[in-house]
Amino acid sequence: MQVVVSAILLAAVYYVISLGLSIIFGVLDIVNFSHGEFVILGAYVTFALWRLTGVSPFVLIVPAMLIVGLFGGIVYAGYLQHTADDTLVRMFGLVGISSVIQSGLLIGTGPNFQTIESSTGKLTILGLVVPQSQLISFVIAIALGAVTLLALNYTMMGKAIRAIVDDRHAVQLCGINDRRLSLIAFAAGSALAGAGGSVIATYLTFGSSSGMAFGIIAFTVVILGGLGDLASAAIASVLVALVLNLVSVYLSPDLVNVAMFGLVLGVLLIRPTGLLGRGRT
Amino acid sequence: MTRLVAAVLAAVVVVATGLAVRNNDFVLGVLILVLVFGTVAQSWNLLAGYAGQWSLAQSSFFGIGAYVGGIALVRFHVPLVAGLLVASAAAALAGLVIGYVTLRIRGHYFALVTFLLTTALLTLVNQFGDVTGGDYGFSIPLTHTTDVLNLGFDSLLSYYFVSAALAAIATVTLVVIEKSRLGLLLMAIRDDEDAARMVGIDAFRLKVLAMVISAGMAGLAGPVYLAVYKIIDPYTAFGVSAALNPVVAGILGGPGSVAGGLVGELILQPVLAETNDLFGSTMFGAQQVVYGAILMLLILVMPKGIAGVVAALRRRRSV
Repeated sequence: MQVVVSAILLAAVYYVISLGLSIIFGVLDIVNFSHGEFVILGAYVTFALWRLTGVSPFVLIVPAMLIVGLFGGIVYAGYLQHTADDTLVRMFGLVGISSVIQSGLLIGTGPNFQTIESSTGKLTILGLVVPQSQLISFVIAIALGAVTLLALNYTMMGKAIRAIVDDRHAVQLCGINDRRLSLIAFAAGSALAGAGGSVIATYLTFGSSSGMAFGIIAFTVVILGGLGDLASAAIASVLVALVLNLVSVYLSPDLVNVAMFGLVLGVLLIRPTGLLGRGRT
Repeated sequence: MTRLVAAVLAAVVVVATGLAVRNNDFVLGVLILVLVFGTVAQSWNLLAGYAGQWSLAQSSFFGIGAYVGGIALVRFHVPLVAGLLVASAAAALAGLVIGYVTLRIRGHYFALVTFLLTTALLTLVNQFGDVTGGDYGFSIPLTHTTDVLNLGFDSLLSYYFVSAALAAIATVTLVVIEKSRLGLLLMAIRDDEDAARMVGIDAFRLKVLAMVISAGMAGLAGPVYLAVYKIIDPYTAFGVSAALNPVVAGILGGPGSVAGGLVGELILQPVLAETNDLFGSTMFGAQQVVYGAILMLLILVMPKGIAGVVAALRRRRSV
C-alpha cells in the first residue's frame, strides 16, 4: 500500500513533466530527447537559487521554471529552428543537445549528487509514512497541471497551441503565426519540465546523469497515454509510476529501464494510439 | 578510379601507415580504435544509411559480440578466433530477435525504442553480474606469448593489422550490398517505405535482414576489441556515449556512403583522444560534450556528412 501511495505522489510530478513533453511532441512533432535534461536543469537551478538565497525551494519553483523555459526558448530559436525540417534529423540534434547539457552539468557541478535539505519532516497519515516535502510537491504538481490544462483550454494562446497539435496548416490559414507559437510551445514544455525537476529536487538526490531517467519516464508516459492526448497522460502517469515503484521495490531498481522499454515497445506494437486510443500515431 | 584500384590503394595506405607508426603506441592505439569502432559505425551505416533505419542500438550488438566472445573463451575455452564466429552469430541472432520486435515501428520512434533497448541492456548486464562481471567488466587473461588462435600478439602492430582486416571485411560487405539487388531494395525502403511496399517489396523482412547483417558485423568487432584491450565493461558497450559513437561517426562520414563509418571514426577518435588528453583527468564529461557538440553541429550544418558534402560539390561542378 505504501508503494501505491508513493506512486500516486510521484505520478503528479511525472504528469507535469509529461505534459511538457506532450506539448512539444504535439506541436513540433519531435521526440524531445533532451526533455529529461531540462528536468534536471530545473533541479539544479532550484538548488543553486536555494543555495544563494535560502528561500524555501517551493517558492523557487517559479523562477526556476521561468529560467528553464527561457533556456528552452533559446535552444529552440537559436538552434532547433534552423535545423532541417526532418523529424529524424531534428531528433538527433536533440540527442546532441541532451549530451551537451548533461556533460555540461557534469563539468560544471562535478560528479556528486545533490539534494535540497528541507526542514520539513515526515507525516504519518493513516498509518503510512509520507515525507512532507513529497506531499507538498504533489500538491504543487497537481496545481501546475491544472493551471496548464486551464491555460490550454481557455486562453487564446492555449487554444491556438492545441489547434496546431491538430492541424498546423489550418492554423496557418487562420492567419496565426504558428512559428512563434512553436517557439512558445517549446519554451512552455521546457518550463514544465523544469518545474517538475524543481519539485523533485526537494526530496530526491539527483546528479548530472539523472536526467536520462526522467526523459525515459516522460517518453513512456506520453506514448502510453497517446500522443497529443493530454488528459489520458494523467492516467498513464499513474500507471507508469505504479509499474516503476512495483518493479523497483519487488524486483530490483535496476530493472526499471527494462520495464520502461517493455511498456513502450508493447504500446507501440499493440496499441500505437495510446491506451485510450485517442492519440495520434 | 575503379573499385579495384581504390581497394588496392586503400590496402597500400593502410599497410604503409601501420608500418610508418609501428613504434608509436599512442597513434597505433588511436588507429586501432578507428578501425574497430569504424566497423561498428559501418554497421550503423548499413542499417541507417542504406536501409534508412536510424538505430541507437548498434553498440549493443558490439557489446553482445564482445561479451559472448569473452565468455566463450573464459568459461568454455573456445579459442578467440573461433569465438569471433560465435560472437558474430550471437549478435546476428540478437539482431534477428530485436529486429523482429522493433522494426515494425517506424521513423523516430524506432530510434527511441532502440535507445531504450540499449539502456535496458545496460541494466541487464549489470544485473547478471556473476556471468558478465557486472560493473567491473569482463576481462580475458593477458597473453604473454604470441597465441594466434586467441589473437594474442606481443606487438600492437599485429593488432592493427587484425583490426584493418576487420574493417576491410565490413567495408567490402557494404560495397557488395550497395551494388546488389538487396542494396537497391534497401535504398528504396530508405527513400520511401510506403512507396516500396506498394511496389510489392517486403519491407519488414528486408529491414530485419539488414539488421541481422549489421548486427553480425558489429558483433564481429567485439572480440577484436576484447583481444586488444583484454576487458570489456558495460558502459563501453551499452552506455549512452557508446550508443552515440557509431551514430555520430556515421553521420559525420556520410550515411549511405561506402566508407562513411570509417571516415567518421577517423575524424572522431583523434578528437576524442585529444580531448581526453587535454581534459580527461580534470574534467569528467569532456568526451560527452564533444560528442554532443559535434552531433549538434553536424545536424545543423551537414546532416548528410562528409560524403554528402562531397556529392554536393560534385553536383555543382557538373552543372
